[in-house]
Amino acid sequence: MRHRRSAWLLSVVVFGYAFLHAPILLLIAYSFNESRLVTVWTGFSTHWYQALFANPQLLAAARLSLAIAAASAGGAVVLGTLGAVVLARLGSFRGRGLFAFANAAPLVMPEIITGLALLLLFVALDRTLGWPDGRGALTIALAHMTVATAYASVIVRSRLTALDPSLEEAALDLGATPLVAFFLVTVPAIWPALAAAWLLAFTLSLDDLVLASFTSGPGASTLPMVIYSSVRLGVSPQINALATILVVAVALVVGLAAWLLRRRMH
Amino acid sequence: MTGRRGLLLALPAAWLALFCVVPFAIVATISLAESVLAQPPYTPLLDWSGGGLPAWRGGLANYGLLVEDGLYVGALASALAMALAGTAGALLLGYPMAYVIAMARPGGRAVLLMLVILPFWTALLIRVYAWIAILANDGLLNRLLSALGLIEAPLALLYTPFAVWLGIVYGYLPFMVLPLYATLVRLDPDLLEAAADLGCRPLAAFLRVTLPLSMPGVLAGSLLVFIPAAGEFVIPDLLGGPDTLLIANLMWLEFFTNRDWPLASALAVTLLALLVGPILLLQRARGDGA
Amino acid sequence: MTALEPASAVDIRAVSKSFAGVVAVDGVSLSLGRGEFFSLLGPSGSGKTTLLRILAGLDRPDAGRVLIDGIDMTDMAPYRRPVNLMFQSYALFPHLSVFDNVAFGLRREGLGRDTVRRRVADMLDLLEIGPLAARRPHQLSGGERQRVALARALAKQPSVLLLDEPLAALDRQLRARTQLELARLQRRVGITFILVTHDQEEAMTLSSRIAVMRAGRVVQVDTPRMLYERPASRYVAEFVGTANLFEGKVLGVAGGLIRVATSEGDMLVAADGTSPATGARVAVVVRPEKFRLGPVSAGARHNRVSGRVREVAYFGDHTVYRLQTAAGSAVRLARAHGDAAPPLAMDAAVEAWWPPESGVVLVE
Repeated sequence: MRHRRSAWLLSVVVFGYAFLHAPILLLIAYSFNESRLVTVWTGFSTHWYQALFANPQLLAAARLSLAIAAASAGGAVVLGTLGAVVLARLGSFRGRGLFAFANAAPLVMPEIITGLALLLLFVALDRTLGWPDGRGALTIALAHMTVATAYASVIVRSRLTALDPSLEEAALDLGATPLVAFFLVTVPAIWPALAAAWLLAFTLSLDDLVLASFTSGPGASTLPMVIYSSVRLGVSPQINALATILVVAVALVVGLAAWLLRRRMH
Repeated sequence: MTGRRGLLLALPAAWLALFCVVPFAIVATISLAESVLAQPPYTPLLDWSGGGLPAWRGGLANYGLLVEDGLYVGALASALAMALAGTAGALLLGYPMAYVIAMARPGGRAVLLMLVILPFWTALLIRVYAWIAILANDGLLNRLLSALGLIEAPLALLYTPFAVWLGIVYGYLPFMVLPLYATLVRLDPDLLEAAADLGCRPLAAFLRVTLPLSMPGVLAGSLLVFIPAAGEFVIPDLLGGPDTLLIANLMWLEFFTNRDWPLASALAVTLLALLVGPILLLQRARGDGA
Repeated sequence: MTALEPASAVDIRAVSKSFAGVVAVDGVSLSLGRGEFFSLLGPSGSGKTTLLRILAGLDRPDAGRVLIDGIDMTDMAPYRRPVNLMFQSYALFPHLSVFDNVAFGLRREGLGRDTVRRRVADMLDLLEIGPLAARRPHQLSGGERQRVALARALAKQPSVLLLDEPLAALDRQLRARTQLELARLQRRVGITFILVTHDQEEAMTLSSRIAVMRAGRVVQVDTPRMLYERPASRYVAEFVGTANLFEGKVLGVAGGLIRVATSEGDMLVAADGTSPATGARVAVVVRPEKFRLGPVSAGARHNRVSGRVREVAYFGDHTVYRLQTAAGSAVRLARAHGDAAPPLAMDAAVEAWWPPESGVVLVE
């Protein structure tokens, strides 16, 4: 039965979508504002974008963030897939409950706690093993990997669970070793999930402020850290321009990925 | 076969132990230490200076301070209250949205769903930042209201508890809508037809059939909003004022400004202890214990 | 294995397997000859698929051994066994073409390109799916998928081909046609086939021998004809075909005939080598089509039932009637059409009898 949508239901939903999207749309609009003031429209201009690309500090932070995001996303997909295979295919083993809990814990843990905990881990490791020898890009990437692995594992696991297990068994039956079966049969069947997990891990890393602030050292400032310190000084159209680029880039990549996956399925 | 299983298990298990279990044990340990001006800025828990067996130097002093100083109890209480209010707001706004998405035709459903998921891919920092320009005294909202003649003097919106609440509802709305949608879309439409056939008006059918059956989604969505909101840092930091010092801001302050790592750890342990119940509930609501 | 001692194609010795405390296979022993078409028949949950997976190496038995061509395979990984399985879901690799699906197993053996191409082509020809070689599984019909799955499993020329409900996903007409083709194919390739099915008709049509399974155990192994004509238990009698069961008590054995007292009077059944003790509680099995109507022959004072027709079910080539006897039993009897006899009317009074060699006495 199709519900007669009452006017109030519709208006609540319209309000909800406006509420979700208006702030970002306004932010994008005002990135093209000529004025230094973010709230008064004086005319169209792209000079904030030009200023952006002349800002060496921002560009360095962007490069660092992209490198950390790519590395941590790669690691997270590998580890998350391993965790997912363990949970989806290994059946029961001693400590499975703890494994599953630890695997999912970073998903719900407030970032500030995870960030503090990982920093203290790195400090303790440094004191006992002399590794990772200070903090910087490596420790940020490890922290991002910790959280992103949990996300990747959830995504890959749900795909693995939906996959007919007899496909892998058929490969074994036809003479493939488990490893060969995984790469020849399982990976081709779950690659959309692997791609989605990588993308999500990549954007999580690119967007993160809290974990990076805790686990970073002197000289290693990611893009969100630079944005944050600038935002604390007040609103600036240059930040609007930077945010616009990030939002549009992520939307394009995610949209493209979704389109590719849909096309692939038909 | 067994050896192969062990091999497969070893790497992820070692990773999880090192990065998802040990760190929290370290936090708990350091919360028992004392803050000192040193690198790292806390006292060792075991004092080896006496020779022979080390002496235990840990204590609950940090927790004592948390209880005695009203600042911490207050910040904890306001964080929980704010998270609760934010959850309620997200539920009130998110339920109708999820309902409409679930009832939409498949084509429209994909678009509506995508529009809910899209903000999830955008940095929270940027999304919260966008609100500053809207809520400021000379911001877009105040300009709009005064242009409409609704207000004479600008309303103080930014740096208030209201702004923080708004930010939490805004930031976490997708977390509420998605699990609600997932429950509602699985609801068999025949059930509503059966209710109508048995004499239920649409509103009664909603209250007696749809709402009770969507409770798992309500629970999952609420927990997904409440848990991270209780530890939220960015939103109160950017949109809140001095009277909205939440627990995460205090932790940040103790850690970065006061360099009191043991006290920050004790705050983390306390927050975690308060969230353990909701976290376990969430894991169970999602099934499978994970 | 030596030439003097021809090992059986498959030897299953006291194999048991349970999952989380639930017994799936319980001490099964079976021995299969080379080139046999053997069926494991049973309802769902009887352990037949688990037994098949143990043969394929996909599940490891808790106890017992599995020998193939005389070689112990119990601990051998599935990818080293000379056995191939055709999955119930077919498990065709969705990202590979029909050709690559069939070639998958051959390539794992490290065969050269030309050999692979030739053997795949032969296989596709054998199953008459050559024109489909470039298609993906989702572009195939159910019947075509079934053939591809069969070709893929046969391509490696296994010693034993395992088939898990291979026809279950096909519609009724296609299933009947494919049954005949499967039997022909098996004769042609000469490989031992082991078929798992819950469909007794399918098992009867295809198999040289059938093992009937129940709750993890094999309850009877026999040819289709013997399973039907001489069921060894009440379970087999009722699972394979339709059976009338008359409960009774043995009065004595004399002259190769067992005399049983039942609610329908005394019955005389050919002893056929068995001699149950006097006083034993037994059931007499009589298949519906064994009844004869009309005037009782002189020698048949026993084995008579009389009652009224209460139900009529028309099957085209025969009709099944349910009689309600005076003593209260329900008796099903079947009459083939084509003879001149007129059909029985509802509520008609009927007298029927059966010869002693048509019944079976089951001691419980």
